[in-house]
Amino acid sequence: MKVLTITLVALLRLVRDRSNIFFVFILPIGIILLIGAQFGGGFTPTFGVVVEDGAGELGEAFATQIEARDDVDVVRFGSRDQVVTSVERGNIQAAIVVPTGYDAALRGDESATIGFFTRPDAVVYETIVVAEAADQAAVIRAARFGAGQNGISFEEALAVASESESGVEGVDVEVATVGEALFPPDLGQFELGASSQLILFMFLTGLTGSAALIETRRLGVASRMLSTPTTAGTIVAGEGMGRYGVVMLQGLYIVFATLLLFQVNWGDPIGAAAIMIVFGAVCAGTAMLMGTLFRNDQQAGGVGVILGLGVAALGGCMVPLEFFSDTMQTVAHLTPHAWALDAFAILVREDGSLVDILPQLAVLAGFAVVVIAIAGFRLRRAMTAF
Amino acid sequence: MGPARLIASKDLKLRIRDRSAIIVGVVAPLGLAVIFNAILGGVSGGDFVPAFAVANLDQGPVGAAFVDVLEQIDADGIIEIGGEPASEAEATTLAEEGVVSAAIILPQGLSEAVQAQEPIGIVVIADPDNPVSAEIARSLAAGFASEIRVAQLAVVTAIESSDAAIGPEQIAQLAEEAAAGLPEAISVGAVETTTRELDLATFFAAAMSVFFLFFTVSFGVNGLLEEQQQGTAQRLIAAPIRQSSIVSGKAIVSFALGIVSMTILIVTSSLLLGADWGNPIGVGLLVVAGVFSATGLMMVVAAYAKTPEQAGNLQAILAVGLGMLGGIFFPGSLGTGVLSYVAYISPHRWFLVGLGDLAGGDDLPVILPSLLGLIAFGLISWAFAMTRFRSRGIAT
Repeated sequence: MKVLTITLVALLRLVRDRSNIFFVFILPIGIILLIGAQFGGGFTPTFGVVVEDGAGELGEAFATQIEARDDVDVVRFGSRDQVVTSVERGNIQAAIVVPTGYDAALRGDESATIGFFTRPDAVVYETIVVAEAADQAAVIRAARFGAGQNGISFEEALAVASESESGVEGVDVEVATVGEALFPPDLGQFELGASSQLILFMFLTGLTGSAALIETRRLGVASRMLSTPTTAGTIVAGEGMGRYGVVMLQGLYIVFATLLLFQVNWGDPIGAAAIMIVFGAVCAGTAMLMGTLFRNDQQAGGVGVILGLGVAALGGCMVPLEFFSDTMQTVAHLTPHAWALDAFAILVREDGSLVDILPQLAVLAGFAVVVIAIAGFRLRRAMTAF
Repeated sequence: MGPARLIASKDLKLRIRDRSAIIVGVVAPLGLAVIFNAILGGVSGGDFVPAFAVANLDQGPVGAAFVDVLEQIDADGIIEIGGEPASEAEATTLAEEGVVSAAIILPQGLSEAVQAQEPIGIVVIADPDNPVSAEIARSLAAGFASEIRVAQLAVVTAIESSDAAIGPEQIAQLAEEAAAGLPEAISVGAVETTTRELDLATFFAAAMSVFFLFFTVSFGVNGLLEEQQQGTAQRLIAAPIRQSSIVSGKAIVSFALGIVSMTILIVTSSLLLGADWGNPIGVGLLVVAGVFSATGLMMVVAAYAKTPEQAGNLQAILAVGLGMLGGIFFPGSLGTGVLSYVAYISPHRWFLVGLGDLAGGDDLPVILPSLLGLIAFGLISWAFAMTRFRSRGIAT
């Protein structure tokens, strides 16, 4: 009962601190929204397209042709300078400029050149434009051939070629994929960001909250509690449960808020709950440990933020683990974050269940036992030392 | 200037003794930059050359012509032909095992079908994790297919637009002429632009530096609130010094902490992480403008807050919120969406864009918009802070 009271006090202190409304409740959802908006739904290159004045009907037709592709997003720009600057800044991947006189050149038996701008690391997109240009050129070249053979006007031949176009069989190109995709195409827009931010914030909120634990000692609350008929063990258990309550409140809030707001798929509910329960214990243990390592709550808060962000980055919460090099993947698995993320990946991407994530849960439980044991021992000593 | 300098030097000594300023100003940003660098160091960089396998099961001229085309592109270094398997199954295995990023299969009977204008298809087998490579393979095949189609269309157009009846011999001759190559009509003039973006090492060093800069400078201006809490503010006011000197003293501390921590970060990240910040004069101007706007923002909060805790909380919220909005955790760009425009209310964005522009060339005027953005942000903040101090005084 006393343990519960101490736990409740910790939760109350979290909620009463008004800046926590931002850090615990607004920030994580904001970040998940941001990541989803930025990277969700896979990467589609964006092309800037400029159709200069006097590019004519064929020029506009070319732009429309690019816009019709579903593997490229197109943004229209007003001028060549604007679009090139945008490429240089990396806001868009490539720029296409259909020049003045495009239509006239093509109708006048001359060749036309489409301007294409990319940065040195994105020249691969040239093939897309080349293919589209070839498509448009097909009718024109055929018309020129027809006109030359039969001595008729280009416009006349163009009409015939355009009409015959649909009847020509050509050669089909069919794309098939093999193997399993790293990120399945049906992975929701917010899924990747949601599980990594859940892990990041449970840990971060736990660590920054450890400042409260130091305050408890510094203000003598712990000593006063000890003067009552309460054993040190009960206080340590209560403070530990308090950290655990804070971490779980943060976690549950993120899960339910993203479920309601973004319909994030968290996978098998029992599996997801198991990960949170075990990972929460790791976070609470680490928070308790932090609470014993520092004297000054400001220091603990500062170091908590740095450690919380640093370990999260290392564990794959900021950049997906799949992008890490092999060495860095090994290093990442020294953090509990990487194991929790692996477990969520199995649940969400492979539709796994509790049984499939048992190895990850076992490792996390190992982390939890070690930190809680050390923290419990140290905290008991720190409490009674006052 | 005397009293202001005195207050500043006392506060600076205090900040250096209390190590939090050093942790926040130098250790944290540098540590995080190192971690990001380690994680992402291997991700980008290097020229990306996709490898394709080509299974030419066609015995005729069309298949051979396509292989010629691919070999030409291989010689240009744009793609790499990573195997010429003898069967579709073999090609599929290569793609599946990730030996190549896509396999192109030219089916048996391709040439006959093309000549007879019968439907036939080239198959591209792609690794789903390499959508860009798959697209290149598809585009190459599609480009070649479209050449075939041009020839076919040219023949049909010639036949359809002719007044006279055309016999099989004439058709064969037309086909030969068309297949021999029709003059190009549209070419693509590709230009590689310069890159106004920071490389990853520099980006993370810069992003973490500017992120923590806001926390570092808050140590200076929050001194005002601490004086209030400790009751020393009243004593300062009672002394024959102007209140503006007291505010200046605190601002000098913020400035000094900001400039010094940024300088340390720039030098160490250049030496340790290989960050390339660019033209020193431009970087210097951006840093000064950045410190100015950061101090301004923190000063506003200090002016309106009642206690150091309240100020610290609000400052952290602003620093984190504006930092996230300014894209400090996303290397590269923010795209072209609404977000990329909203980001400009963040001084972090201006700072990073300024450095990016600087990286695109050594022309100093390119950073002018970013400098003005930072200075404008700073001036507005300062104006609000000063109005508050003027109406309320530095302590109540």
